Amino acid sequence: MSHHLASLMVAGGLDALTYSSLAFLIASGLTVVFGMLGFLNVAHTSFYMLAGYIGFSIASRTGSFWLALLLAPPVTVALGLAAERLLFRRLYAAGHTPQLLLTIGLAYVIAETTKMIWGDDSLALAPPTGLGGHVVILGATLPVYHLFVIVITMALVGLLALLIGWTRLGMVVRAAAIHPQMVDALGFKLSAVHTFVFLVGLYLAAVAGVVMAPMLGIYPGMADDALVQSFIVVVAGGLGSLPGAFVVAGLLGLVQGFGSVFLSDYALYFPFVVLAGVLLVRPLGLFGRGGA
Amino acid sequence: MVDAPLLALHGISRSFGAGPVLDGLSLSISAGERRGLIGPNGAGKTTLINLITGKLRPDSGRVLYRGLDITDLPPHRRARLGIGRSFQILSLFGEASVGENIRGALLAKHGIGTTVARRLSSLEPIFAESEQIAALAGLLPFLGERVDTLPYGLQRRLDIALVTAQEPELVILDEPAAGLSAAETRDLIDLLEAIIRGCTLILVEHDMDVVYALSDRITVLDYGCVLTEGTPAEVNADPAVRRVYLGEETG
Repeated sequence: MSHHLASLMVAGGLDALTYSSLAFLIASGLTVVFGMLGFLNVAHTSFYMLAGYIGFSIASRTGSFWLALLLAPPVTVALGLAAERLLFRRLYAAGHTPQLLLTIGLAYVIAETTKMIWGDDSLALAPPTGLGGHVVILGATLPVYHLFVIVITMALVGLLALLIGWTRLGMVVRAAAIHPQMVDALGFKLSAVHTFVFLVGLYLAAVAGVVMAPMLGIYPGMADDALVQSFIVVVAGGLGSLPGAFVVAGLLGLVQGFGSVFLSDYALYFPFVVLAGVLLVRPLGLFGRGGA
Repeated sequence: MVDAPLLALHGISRSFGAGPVLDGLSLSISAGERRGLIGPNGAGKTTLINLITGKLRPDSGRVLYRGLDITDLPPHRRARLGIGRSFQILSLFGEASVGENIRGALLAKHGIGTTVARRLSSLEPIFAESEQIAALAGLLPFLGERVDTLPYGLQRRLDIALVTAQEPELVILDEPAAGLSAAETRDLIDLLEAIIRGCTLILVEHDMDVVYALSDRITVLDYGCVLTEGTPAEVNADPAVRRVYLGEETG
C-alpha cells in the first residue's frame, strides 16, 4: 500500500513539474510584457500554437524533432516581431480596450489561418527517438519525455534568470521595469528594451508550443486552453510579476498533477479554485502591487 | 553665430484634451546660461521640459538644439546629444546601491549599456568615475548603501549626481528642492553650484530662494505663454509677475 502511494506521489510530482514548467514558459512573456509595457496581448498564446504547427511541419518534412525545436521558435518570433512592429507598437500608449480589440482580432486571424493551412484535426508529433520510452522510479512508470520537458524548461528559466539578473542587458531591462523614463533619460533606447522583452517572451512560449506537441498533440483550440491557464497564472501571480507567475505555475502544477492522480474527475476545476483562493487572500495577486 | 542659442524653441503648441497647455511658446537659451523657469501650477512648465527632453512631441513648432532640429528625436537620442534631466518625482533604483545607480548612469555614456559580452576590464574606468562622481555629490560614504535606505535629502543628491554623471551640456532640473528641509535646500544649492559649473541649466522650481540663487535669468510662464523674462531683480520687480505668481505665494 505504501509502495503504491509512493509511486502515486512520484507520478503526481512529475506531472506537477511538467505542467508547471510549461505553464510558466507560456505565461512568463504575457506577464512581463504586461508589466513593462502595460500591453495586454491576448494573441500571446496564438503564437505558442503557431510554433506547435510550424514545428509539426518542420518535423514531418525533415523527420527531426530537434530541427523543429531549433527552428520553429525563431520563425515564430520573427512573425511576432512583424506583429509588434506593424500592429502592437501603435497601441502601447492607447489603453487596454484598443489593445484587447486588436489582439483578440489577431488571435482569430491566427486561429483561422492555422485551420486553413493545417486543417481542423488534431495532429500528433512523436517524441524524438530515445525520449519515447519510460523509466520506472519508486514503482512509478514515468515517460522519459516528461523528464526531458522539465530539464529543458529549467535550463531555459535558469538562462533567463542569469540574463536578467547578471548581465548589463538584464540590468537595463530591470531598470526599465521600474523607471522607464529614467532609463530613457540616461540615454538607453527604451523601445529596443521593450522589443527585446517582447521577443524573449514569445520565444519561451514558442518553445513550449513545440515541446508540448508530443504530449498533448497540436489542435486548433490549444491557444485558447493555454490562454485561460496563462491568465490564471498572470492574475493570481500579480500582473507583471515573474516570481508570481513562477509560484502560481508551481501551484497549478501541484493541484493538476496530484489532482489528476487522486481526484481526476474534478481536475478541470482546480486552476480556478487556485485563482479564486489566491484572489480571496490577495486581491492583487500573490506579488501584485497596487496602482499603476 | 557666436551667440547662436544652445536651445531654441519656436512657436511650440501642445494640447491635452480640453485646451492648449502650451500656446505658441518661443524660448531661447544661450550656452552657459542658467535659466529659471517659474509659473503657477498648470502654466506648462513640466510639459515644456517633456517637449525639450523628448517625452512629448509638440502639436506644432520646432525644438532646436545646437542648431539641430531635434523635434522628432526620441528621448534617448537627446540624452546622448547632451540633454540631461531629473524628474519631479525621484526616479532612482531603490533596491540597488548608490554605486550601482551611478554606474548604471555611466554605462550608456560609455556606449556599453546593453552589450552582454564585454571584457570586464572595460568597466574599470566606470568604477573609478563613479567614485569621483559620488565624492563630488558628497555620497562617497554611502556608495555601498541601498538607495531606499537613504534619507530623502541624500536621494535628491544622488538624483542630481545621476544627471550630471552623463556630463550633459544642458541640465534640466524639475523641482530639485521639492520635499527638502531648509537646511537640505541650502546644501542642494551649494551642491548645484559646484556640480553644474560650466553647464547650461534650466531650473523649474517653486522655492524662489533656489531660483534666485541659481538663475542668471528667469522666464515666467502663465497659461502656456511667456509672461515675462529677465534678470531675477527685473522679474522680482515686475508687477504682472507679482500678481500672477509671487502674489499667489504670499496670498
